[in-house]
Amino acid sequence: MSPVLLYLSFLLFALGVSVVLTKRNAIVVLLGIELILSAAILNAIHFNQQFPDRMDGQLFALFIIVIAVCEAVVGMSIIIRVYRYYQTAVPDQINELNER
Amino acid sequence: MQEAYSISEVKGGLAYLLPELTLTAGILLIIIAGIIWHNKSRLWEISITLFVITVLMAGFLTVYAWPQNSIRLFFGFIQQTDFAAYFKLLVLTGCALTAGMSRKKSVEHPAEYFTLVLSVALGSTLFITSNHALMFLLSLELISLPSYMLTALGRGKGGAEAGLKYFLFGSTVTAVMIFGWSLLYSATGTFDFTSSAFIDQLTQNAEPTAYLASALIIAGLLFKVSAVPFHLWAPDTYQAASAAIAAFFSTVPKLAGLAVLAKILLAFHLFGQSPVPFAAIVGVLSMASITLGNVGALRQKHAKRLMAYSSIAQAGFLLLALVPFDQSGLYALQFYSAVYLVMNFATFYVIGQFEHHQNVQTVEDFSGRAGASWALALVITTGLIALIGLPPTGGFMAKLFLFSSLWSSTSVSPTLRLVFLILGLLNTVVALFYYLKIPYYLFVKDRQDKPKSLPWELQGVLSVLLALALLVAFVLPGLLMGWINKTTFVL
Repeated sequence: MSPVLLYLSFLLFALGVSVVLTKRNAIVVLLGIELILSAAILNAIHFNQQFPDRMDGQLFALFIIVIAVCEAVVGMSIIIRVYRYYQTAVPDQINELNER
Repeated sequence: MQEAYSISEVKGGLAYLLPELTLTAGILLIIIAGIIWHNKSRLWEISITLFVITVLMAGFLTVYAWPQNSIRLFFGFIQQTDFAAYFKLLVLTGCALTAGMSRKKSVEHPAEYFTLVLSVALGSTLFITSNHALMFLLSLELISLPSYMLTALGRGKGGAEAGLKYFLFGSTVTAVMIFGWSLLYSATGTFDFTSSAFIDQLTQNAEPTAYLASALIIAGLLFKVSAVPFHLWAPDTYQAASAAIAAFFSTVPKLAGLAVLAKILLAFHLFGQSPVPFAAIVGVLSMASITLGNVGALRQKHAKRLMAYSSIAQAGFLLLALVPFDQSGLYALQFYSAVYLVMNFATFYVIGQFEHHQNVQTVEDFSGRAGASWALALVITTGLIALIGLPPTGGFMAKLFLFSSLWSSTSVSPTLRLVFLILGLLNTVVALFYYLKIPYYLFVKDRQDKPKSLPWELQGVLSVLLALALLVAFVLPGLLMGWINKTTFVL
């Protein structure tokens, strides 16, 4: 097992989290989430190499891809709905609901 | 994998999955109905009928196929236990009550609406029985994605905003959680989180990554039960959703999340061998939830927003039942969950009726409206008194069982136990101030014009029945507790 892939996956995770935290546009945040998911996929496949007689890590990776696709579809449809009402996809600029 | 992969294993497993299969069939039928009928009011009638039949049938099958002992199905992906069956029944009851509360006028797309609610129900029942990281994540997504859509389908601008925020927050937490599972796989070499291999590996070579991974996974579950520090989505979502959906969100996914949290915490706790003080951590999180929920609720004016903060505080109380890490704590959790379901729905039913007929939104709008329907005013008062935890309601018994199981537990040090107990009781006093605000406005405040009286309808009858159930739970808690005591928690 080479540590390079492990570092790469942690780098992807860190990048994803920083994108989610710093970017303001919802679509870019969605991209950050995809980065975190690819870090998880990389991890699962990489660790599966330790157990050559099993496939569960790779199966896990396949299902994560499915989950990521579903999430992207739902996310984009919600973003389109928001855009129709507010003409923006930046959550900070939308403030209909609040403590008042 | 221990078992050999075989088609007979899958075929044999299907027989134990009848409630879930019924729900799946119901989802498909409602989708088909949505394609065939276009007249909204006709479609509404057909889809609500299909929905109710499906949920009742699933509930009946759950009781009919009540598992006597724990059964592992599909190579250990699913485990049917009576603990899980109990929570499944609660989830299905919640769905049936949601259908009773839904109104034709506030639902734009009936077929989609009922499909999504039923999908959350299916996700919850699978989630409760899941035993494997893959099953866990897929059923979690089956709860989450329809929840985002239900929020976004809610009323107009507010619904879209709440949906977007809920989605971004939720999918980030889920992604981080998936990363946590992949790390845990590296530490244990298995995704089956109740297998002995998993627990042995965690006991023998405990690495920092394993702790990090457990923290990430628990964070995801805390989000589902809307506990601090992952509660921020709840107020916006509840405010934007209709009363029926708010009541649904505050019970069904939350109870499913709690049942799984109980299982996962016990696995991570390694039957008390873990060096991490999970009991103390859960206790602190629960105290934070109760306190922040109560403090947040104090300054709320919007009725459903107030109920959102109340549900955060109640999540704290439900988490407190996980602190003892023993059977009596879980019995308290089961009792509290059932009572919580009833009292939350009783309150939301009345809020929903006032909102629908008289456009009551804020707490002040309730002023002097007791005359509109004395029965409903008494029902909401009963529900809120139960949520505080005062007699003569089931809420009191639930809190009594909860605190007594905490007091007799040995999982945390006596000082910490005392602190939890005192903070919990103090918070009950704080809760008095905001829960009693609605009855105060209803009964004490006057208004110039005489309020129009509310019509009697199915919703009213159901809410009175729920309030009666709360009173019965106080007088005869043994009815429910006797049943709960028959269930056993197996990992």
